[in-house]
Amino acid sequence: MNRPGPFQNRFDRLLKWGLSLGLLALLPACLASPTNQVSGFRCSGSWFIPPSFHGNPWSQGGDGTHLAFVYEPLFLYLPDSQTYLPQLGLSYKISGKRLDIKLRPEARWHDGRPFTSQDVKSSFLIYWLQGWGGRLKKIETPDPHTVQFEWHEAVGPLEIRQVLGRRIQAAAHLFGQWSKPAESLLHTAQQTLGADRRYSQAQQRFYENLQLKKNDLLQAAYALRPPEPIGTNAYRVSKVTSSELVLKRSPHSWHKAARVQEVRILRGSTNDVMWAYLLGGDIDASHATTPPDVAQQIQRLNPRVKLFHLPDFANFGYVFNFRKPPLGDRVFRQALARLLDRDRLRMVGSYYSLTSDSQQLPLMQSDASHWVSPELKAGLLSYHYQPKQAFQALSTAGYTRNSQGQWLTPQGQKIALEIAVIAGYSDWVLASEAVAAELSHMGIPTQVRTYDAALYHQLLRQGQIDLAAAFGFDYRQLMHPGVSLDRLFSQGGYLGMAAGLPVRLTGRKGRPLALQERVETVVGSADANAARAAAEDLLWLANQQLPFLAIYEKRISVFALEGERVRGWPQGDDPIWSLSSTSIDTVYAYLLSSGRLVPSGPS
Amino acid sequence: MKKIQLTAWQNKLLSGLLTILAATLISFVLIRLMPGDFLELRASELVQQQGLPYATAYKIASTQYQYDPSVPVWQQFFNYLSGLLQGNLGTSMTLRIPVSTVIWQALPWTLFLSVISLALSFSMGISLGILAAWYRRKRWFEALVNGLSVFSQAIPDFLIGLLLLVFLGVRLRWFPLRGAYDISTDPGFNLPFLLSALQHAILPALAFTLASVGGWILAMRAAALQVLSEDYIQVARAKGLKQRRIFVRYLARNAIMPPVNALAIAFASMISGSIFVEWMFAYPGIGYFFGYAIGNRDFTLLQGILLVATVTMVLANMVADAIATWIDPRIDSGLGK
Amino acid sequence: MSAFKHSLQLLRQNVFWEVLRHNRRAALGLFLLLGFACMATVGPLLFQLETRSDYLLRFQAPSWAHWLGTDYAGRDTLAQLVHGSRDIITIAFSSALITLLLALLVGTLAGLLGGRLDQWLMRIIDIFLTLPRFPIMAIMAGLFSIQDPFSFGFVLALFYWPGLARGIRSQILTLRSKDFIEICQLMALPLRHVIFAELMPNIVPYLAINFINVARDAIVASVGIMLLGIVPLSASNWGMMLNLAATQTGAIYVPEAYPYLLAPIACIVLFQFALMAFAGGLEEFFDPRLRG
Repeated sequence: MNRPGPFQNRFDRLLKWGLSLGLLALLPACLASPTNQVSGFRCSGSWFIPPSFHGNPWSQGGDGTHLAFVYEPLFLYLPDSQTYLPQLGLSYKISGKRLDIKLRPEARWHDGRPFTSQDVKSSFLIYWLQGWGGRLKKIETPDPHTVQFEWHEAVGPLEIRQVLGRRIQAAAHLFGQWSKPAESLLHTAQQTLGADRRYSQAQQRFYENLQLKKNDLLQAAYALRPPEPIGTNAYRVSKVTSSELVLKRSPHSWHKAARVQEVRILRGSTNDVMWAYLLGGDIDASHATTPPDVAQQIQRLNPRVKLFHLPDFANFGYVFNFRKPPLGDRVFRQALARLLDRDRLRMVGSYYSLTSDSQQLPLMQSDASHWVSPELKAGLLSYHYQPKQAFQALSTAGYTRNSQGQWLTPQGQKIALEIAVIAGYSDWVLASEAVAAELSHMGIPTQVRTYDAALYHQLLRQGQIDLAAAFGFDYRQLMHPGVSLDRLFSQGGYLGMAAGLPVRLTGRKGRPLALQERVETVVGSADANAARAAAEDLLWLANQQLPFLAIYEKRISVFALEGERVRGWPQGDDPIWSLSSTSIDTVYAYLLSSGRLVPSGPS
Repeated sequence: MKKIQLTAWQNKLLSGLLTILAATLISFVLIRLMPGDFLELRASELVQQQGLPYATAYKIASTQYQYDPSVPVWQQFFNYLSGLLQGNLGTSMTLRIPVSTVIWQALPWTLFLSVISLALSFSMGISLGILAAWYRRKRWFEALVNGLSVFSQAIPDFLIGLLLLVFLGVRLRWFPLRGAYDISTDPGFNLPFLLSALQHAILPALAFTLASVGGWILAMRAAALQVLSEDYIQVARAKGLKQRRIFVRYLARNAIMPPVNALAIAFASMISGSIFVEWMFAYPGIGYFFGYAIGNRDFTLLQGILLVATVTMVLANMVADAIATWIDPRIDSGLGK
Repeated sequence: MSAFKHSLQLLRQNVFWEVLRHNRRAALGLFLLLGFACMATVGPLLFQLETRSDYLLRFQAPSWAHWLGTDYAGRDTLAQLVHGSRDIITIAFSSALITLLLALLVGTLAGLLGGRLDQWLMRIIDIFLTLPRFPIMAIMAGLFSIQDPFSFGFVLALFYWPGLARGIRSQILTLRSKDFIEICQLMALPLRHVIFAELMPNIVPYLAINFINVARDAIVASVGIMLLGIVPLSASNWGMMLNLAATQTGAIYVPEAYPYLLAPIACIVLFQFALMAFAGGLEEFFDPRLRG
């Protein structure tokens, strides 16, 4: 029996009124949706949200995507054409231990002050306080438009590239107060330590004390809190919220050709957020690692989106911890490499990337011919996908399988592995999950474990992992294999610490190699032949010892929306794209400030 | 009479303070037990970059974060407490601004979001709940309400948020995807800003609402069924009172008590339960900064946020008690007419 | 006394079926629960879990070979669902069980013994209830390295027991003042008898319903924590499937992938519904006023 509805009418009415009132309240909110389409450029990125945001680019809170649009280096390096694009610098000259740079006289800071050699000096003094420039002797400013760097000895191309390519972020009228004390520290350091590479005990004590003093100065500089960053590039920060950061064209900038008046950065740096923005046509450019069906979906909804696949100057794979048996066994590592079908893994993790080559060299594949001589090449092992041979090699080395098919070490212990991954790096997670599935299938039970970044880095440094997903070589900015070899082979190297390599390893022709010394030669030597020979030694070791198993050389998918708010995206083969070795945002910033990207205007 | 009540409240206040103290101590210790030693991390970076001995590097790292782990935890705790007594929440270790600044700017947004979503879910939940009890013989209505409450309780709020974001935000483009207000408006008491803030709050608030409405429906329905089975309803029916009068006077008034009691607690748990929805929508509230603080091991900020959450929880408990005594029908009927 | 209990039990057995017969929802809930139990126990034997990826088969539509289509790496969705049910059910069950035991211990102690001990236990419970649950859970999930569903259940239980313990205590306080307990005390029956023969049977309904509620909460919380990716990715369970579908693989943006996205959601909702419906039936069974 139904109760007669006492309130049926009243509740109906209440419901109706409530609903329509609610909808009415929502209506203006919907109408207020953004319609103001200024002729701006939009991309996605991250920064510190208010109230933690401030304008000191050196310390936490001032860091973010916007820096690429606010600041610029002396020169931009284009790896594809191996040229330098003059920005704040006009020309440079290397003469022995000295580097002379002529500066652009018309450059101005956002507040209208002229840009001078003092600004370059104060910037590089802060870099020095932060730890750059171990062999630096002095920085001199003979006139407002000339700056000279001098080292204790002739330096290699890596050091030069750092000076030319680092952003000039410390205007002397803001950060100059720390230049003088920093410079006097540099002076005493150069007097006490001189050109020595090995320190006496007194020198060592001085050196440690110096670091504490440097740190004090640095902390004082970090404490500066201007409301917005003052730079020289075409755009200056105008407004910041948690979700958007707006930059406006700076009237004082020397980039007279820049025609786009506004840059708007929307918050979001993970793949799924970028996909959301792309699908909605909210941003003009993005670089999300994207599977093909999502890419198709984006292009279907926004037919004007162009898709480019650019190198990311880094390769993805797994570092082995030599301390953990059986990973310390070379036979086992090599077997793992042959058990994995890297092509298949690459598709799952990052479809548009390049499967890494079978020699497993820590080099970009396009760069390999420069560094690998035919003699070296002839002596390299190749790791194709050959599960049968891998099983055979394991059996020969004394590994056995139990009745469940699980592999045991020669000592009879069950083998089970764990792969450490940073939570939120979705392509790493997916590829690792596929690796774990493959290995488990082959009788080596493997589990993926995600850690937050802080913990992951700690475990990596302390060598408390089995396998860790990581970038093997990471060329960024410097475009030189020295970077990747240092990362892999030096004692304090990012991967070296995780792998726990011995100090010496047997090299070619059976002679022992001191890894640290070889690395320093590749990185620091001004003698190109010596550097090349050292690099070959280490490349051979990387191939034979396999401390790192590369799965794919990463390529990023750049989506560029042509004609919605901006037009003029370069063709995919334009060398300008290789600026992405600095960062993809640097490409956008350059295209905007040089006037190559222009407002799409009324179409 | 009055005197006794006052001491009862004093007693409550005292035990509330003790609870806060104990909860702060627990979270203080827990935070410091978290794996991921940021000083170690920074120090080994310095060792690698500058070839320093580990001890020096560690000292530098320690000054950079203004955190000295060699001080025993209990002493850190007392330092923290003595700071608290002076109204000082400390300085964020990584952001280098007072923790109170962060909290004062973030809290209003979280409160705004919480109030909106709680108002929505509570009003929806209790009306549907009581109707579901009253019309429990109507199959379709019951099925509808049940379906809603099952769905609502089964899916975590941030998953609902994600689905809303994708379908209402990305696909239909009805609502902005992220943030708390449009950057072209100026925060303050003006219409464009308020409208924009409302518009931006809809999706995250909806996520909370949809995730919690089921709880309210069930609580209200259970309370109403309980009341319906009480003798005085039967008596009222037997007396031939109008259904409408029974519904309002007897049913609604009595059944609403348990949900209202739970309201304060629900509000308090929203303050700290909003981390992932706020993170997903880049909503600059407490939860967002909590996520940041955890990721960066910013102990002082983390501690400050946990303290705020704990204090709200204790206050909410007191408010709930107060409300309970205030709307108790036995007191109420004595005052009526 | 025992004759009374016996007859009560018999009566209850009949009532149970009667309740199920007229409360279709509860019957359906029980049926679904049994179904899920089968899925977790027998299912993995019937559906072979293919863990290896085949990218060319990514996001296939449902077909005879793949009843629910395939996932982001070309693996069968249904097989993952079936194998994934085991972890979720273990987590729900273990956290509910641990919660129940802890709460029962603390609640009965506090309620029966009273006095100082009671005050202290209640204070501790108050403190636990005041801790902001979700943030602390996030910290704890990082603190304990969770490896298996049991320890996952344990961490969750740490947050559920105080509320239930408080409830049990007040149930016992109410019961204590009732006549039959007072009679027992007058008859000087041993405490053991009072607890197990008199008190327990009376709070069983309360325990049963809360057991189910905790299990339900645990499912949501565990899925949430897995969605965040704090715990290890085991090959497949519903929370991880959702994590991968919603935030990592782009499945949420590709229409072809909807079966893969919706399957774990549907399972979680169904499982929750089953628990709720069955709990409703239990309530009715224990509380005669709700019957009829």
